Amino acid sequence: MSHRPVLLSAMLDGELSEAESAWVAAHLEGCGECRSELEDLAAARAAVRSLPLLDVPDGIVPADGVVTSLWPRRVAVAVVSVAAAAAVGIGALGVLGMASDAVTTIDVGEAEAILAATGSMGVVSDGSAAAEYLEDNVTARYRARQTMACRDETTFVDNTVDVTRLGNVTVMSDPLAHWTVLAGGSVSTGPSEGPIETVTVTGPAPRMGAYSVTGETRDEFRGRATDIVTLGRDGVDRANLWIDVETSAIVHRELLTAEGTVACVAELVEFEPIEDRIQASMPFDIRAVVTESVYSPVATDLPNTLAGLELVAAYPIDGGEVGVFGDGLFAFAVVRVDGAHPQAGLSETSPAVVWESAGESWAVVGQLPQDLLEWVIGDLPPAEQPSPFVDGWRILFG
Amino acid sequence: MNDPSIPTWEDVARTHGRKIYNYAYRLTGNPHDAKDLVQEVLLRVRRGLDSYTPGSFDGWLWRITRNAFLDDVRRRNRRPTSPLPDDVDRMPNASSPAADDVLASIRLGDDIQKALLDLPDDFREAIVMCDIVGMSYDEIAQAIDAPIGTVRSRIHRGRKLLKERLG
Repeated sequence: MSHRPVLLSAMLDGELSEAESAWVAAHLEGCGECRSELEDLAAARAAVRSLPLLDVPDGIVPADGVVTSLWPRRVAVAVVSVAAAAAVGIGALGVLGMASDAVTTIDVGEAEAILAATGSMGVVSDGSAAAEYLEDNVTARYRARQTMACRDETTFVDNTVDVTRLGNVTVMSDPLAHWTVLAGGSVSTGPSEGPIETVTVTGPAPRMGAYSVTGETRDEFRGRATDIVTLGRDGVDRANLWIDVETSAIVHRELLTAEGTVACVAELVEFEPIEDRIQASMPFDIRAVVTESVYSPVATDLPNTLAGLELVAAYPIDGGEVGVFGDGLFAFAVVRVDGAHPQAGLSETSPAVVWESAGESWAVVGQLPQDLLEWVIGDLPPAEQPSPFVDGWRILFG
Repeated sequence: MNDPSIPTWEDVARTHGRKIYNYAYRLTGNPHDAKDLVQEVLLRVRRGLDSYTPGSFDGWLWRITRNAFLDDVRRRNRRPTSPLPDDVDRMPNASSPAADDVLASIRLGDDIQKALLDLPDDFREAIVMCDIVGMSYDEIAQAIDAPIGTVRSRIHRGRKLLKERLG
């Protein structure tokens, strides 16, 4: 007689269909081995369930309307984000004005020099309680510029960086080396010192959760304390990250093949104070520069989170908007265009999935694993179709 | 946000905070990490509520929780961690009666907690969701984005390993 032990646990949890229940009941009558296993499983289940439900420590869950948050609410709604996202640490700059609806932008050319630092940075503009709080949390006042040099000498399938032009915005993304750059206005290239369109990296796109931390040491890098973290995928590749202890910025990283060949090297250069530079472009006094995680709910119709990945930058384009989402491993752009076809602005080199309707069109741009892509699209409005991915979305390129 | 079917952030915090805390505590065995996780989840919920459309709220919440936990693991892996508090004086509010109760319960469940922490991550997650949080297999499948057969298998194999370790 065949055993189906996996059904025994499900039976304990009342998770069997009627047919399965009947099968298990009949089987148990004649099978001492499975009866014994059922007892073991029930004991294990009871043990875990005997663990007491702990109370939440004080100060986390709000009592009677007291909001517990890193950010006072009136600050959190007053934001601008002009940003670049550098993945494994998405960088985003939020400039916080205290007038709740004030939206202040800074020149993108300025932003690109500032924003390559990983980790969110924000500037608080006046002497409110929020600013005082944040001043206690000042951890970084650095300007950072990123340079990148990749060598094409691996055995992996070529994977060229995506360059997507959307109106006056250029979205450049490289899901393997973990960075995305938004540039617009007079800025035509990202923060790379070289011609970014020619950067080539190799290897498959990483998958959510596929990397695991396999090593960590602390050492000096350019005179600063850094944690060196190794992320690895068994037999596939690995990445070494040098993470600045003070700022959490990834100051140097290298991607290696399974054979140990360097596939890509990227590093952050030129640490220097940025406060004066930021101040020069701001019509108010800056009180603090912070690297706390700053959420920037820009005036946008784009969702704030997709599949658990957060909106790190939003940018207006002609007749629509584009948002960059990321979680540190993945970065991709979502485009919304009023009553138009987003592919008009997409480059054919960019993998894109589009959804079209009479009122507006959406596109997801970037190389995402299929399962994550489906998840992202499943989260996206508008879902006029019962199953947007199957019925309403189609793959345009890639 | 005026849709009555969408809870307010404060509702979520009060209704689900304890479950999220217990989920995180049993996964990490560490009250500090668990507390951090609850705060992070509540922050993400607050950011996300504006864009949340009525549907499976629990599914949405647990996906956020799980993502926050995985992110936290990535960050935490940069630093050494201790699986269980070895110095009770370092526990928050160690002098209050409530905290004493908590400590007592932690000591009672020590063996079980240690056995849980010995499990492979996927198995531990499924068991905690099932037996600590009280989620159905369907809800777990949704939260971890896996087929229900995977949920069955992980819970089953996890319990077998637990039994071996607990004797």
